Amino acid sequence: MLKYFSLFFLVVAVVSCKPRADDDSEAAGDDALLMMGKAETEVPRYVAEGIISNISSLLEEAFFLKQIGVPFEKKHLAATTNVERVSDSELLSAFNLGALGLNLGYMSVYQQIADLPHYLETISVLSGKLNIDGQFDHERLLRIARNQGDIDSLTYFSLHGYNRLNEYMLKNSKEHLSALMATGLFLEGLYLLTQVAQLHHTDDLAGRIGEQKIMLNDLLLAMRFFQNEYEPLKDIADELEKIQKEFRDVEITYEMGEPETVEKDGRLVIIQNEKSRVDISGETLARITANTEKIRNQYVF
Amino acid sequence: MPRVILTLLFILIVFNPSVSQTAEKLVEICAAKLGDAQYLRDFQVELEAAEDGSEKPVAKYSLILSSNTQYRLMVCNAEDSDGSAIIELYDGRGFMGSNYSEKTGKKYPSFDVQIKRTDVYHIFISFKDGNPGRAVAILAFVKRL
Repeated sequence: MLKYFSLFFLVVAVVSCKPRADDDSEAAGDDALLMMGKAETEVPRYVAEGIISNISSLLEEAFFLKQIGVPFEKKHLAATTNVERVSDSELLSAFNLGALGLNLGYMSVYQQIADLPHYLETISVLSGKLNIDGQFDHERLLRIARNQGDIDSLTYFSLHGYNRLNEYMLKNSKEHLSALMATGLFLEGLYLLTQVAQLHHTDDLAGRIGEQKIMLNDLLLAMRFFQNEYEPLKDIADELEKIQKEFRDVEITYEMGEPETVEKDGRLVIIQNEKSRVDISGETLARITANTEKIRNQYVF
Repeated sequence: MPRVILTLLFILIVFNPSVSQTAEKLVEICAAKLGDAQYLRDFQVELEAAEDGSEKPVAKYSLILSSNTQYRLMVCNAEDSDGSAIIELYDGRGFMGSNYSEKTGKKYPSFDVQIKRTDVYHIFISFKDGNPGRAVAILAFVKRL
C-alpha cells in the first residue's frame, strides 16, 4: 500500500492545490490504487523533471553521515582511473557523472579534498564527452581545490555546477542524461549509506537507508516516464527494480498532523507535524546492501 | 567607428542594471543572504503579467525533501522586477505555508520548513497581484533535526 503513497501525493498535488486532504491515510492509499493505471503515464513532466533534479542529495547524505558522527572513509569513493572504459558510452558517462557528483559532495562536506582535483578532471572528461562541459566551471573549482581554498565556496560552486548541468540537459532535450545522472547520484548515495552501515550501524542510519524506498519509488516513476522517450533507460530502470523489490519489506508508517507556521526570532518557520517510523530488519538491510553493491559496480567504473 | 560602437555597447551592458544583473548574478547575491544555511538548488523565474480575467501566472517546481531536516526557502527579486515574488510550499495533501500572509499582508524574504517526512514537495512561485516579474528562489539546508 505504502508503495503507492508518494505517487498518489504527486497526483493530488498536481491536479489541485486546494485545502489539505483529510488525514485518513488508508483511504488515500485506496484511492491511489484506483489511480495507478492512469497515473503512471500521466504524471506531469514538471514533476518527473523535479524528481530527477534532486541534485541536493549530492550533499545531503554526506551532511547526514557527518552529523551522526561517522568518519570519512576514502575506500567508499568511486575510482577515477577507468574513465576511458565508460566515456565511449553516453549512458555510462551520464551515470558516472552523477556518481562522481555524490563523491564530490562527500569529500567537500568532510573537507577531505586532497583527491578532489582528480575527480574534477574526470568530471570534466565525462561532461566533455557528453558535450555539456560548458556548464560546469571546472577551472574555478580546480583553483579552489588546489589552493586548499574556501570549502564553502567549493561546496557552493560544485552544487551550483551540477544544477546548471542538469538544467542544461532539461532545456536541451537531454532529459535522458539528466535521468541517468540522477540515477548515478541516487545509487552512489545508497551505496555509500549501506557500506557505511556495515561498519557503523546505528538505528538512525538504518532508518535513513529504509527511507530510500521512497526516493527509489519516485526515481523509478521518473525513469519510466523518460523511458518512453529514450528506450535504453529501460535496462537500468529494470536493475533499479531489483533493488526496489528488496525494499518491499521495509515498513514506513506515518502519524499524520497539520502543519503550523510560527515566527521564531523574526523568521517564519513552517513545522510539519507528522512523524514517520521506518522498520527495516537486519536481513532486509543485508539484501539491499548486497544488491546495491552488485548493481552499482556494474555501472560505476 | 566600429570600435566606438563596441565601446558604447560595452558600457551599456556593464552599467545598465537591467542587463548586468543576470539570473546567475542574482543567484549569487541571493545565496550570499542565506546566513548559516547551505545552498542546495535555485529556481529562476520570469513571469509575464496576468491577463485580465485570468489566473495569475505561476511557476511550478517539484523537489524531494528529506525527513528530520530543516530547509530554508529564500526569494530575491531582480532589480528590474515590477512584481514581488511569493513562494508557496505544498505537500501531497495541500498547502503548507508561504512567505506571504494574505491575512496580515506581511511578506518575508524567506521561511524555514521543518520536514518530518521524506517525499516529493512542490513549490509554486508567482508575483503579487499578478504583476510581471523576475526573481530567484533558493532552497538551502539549515540543519538536521
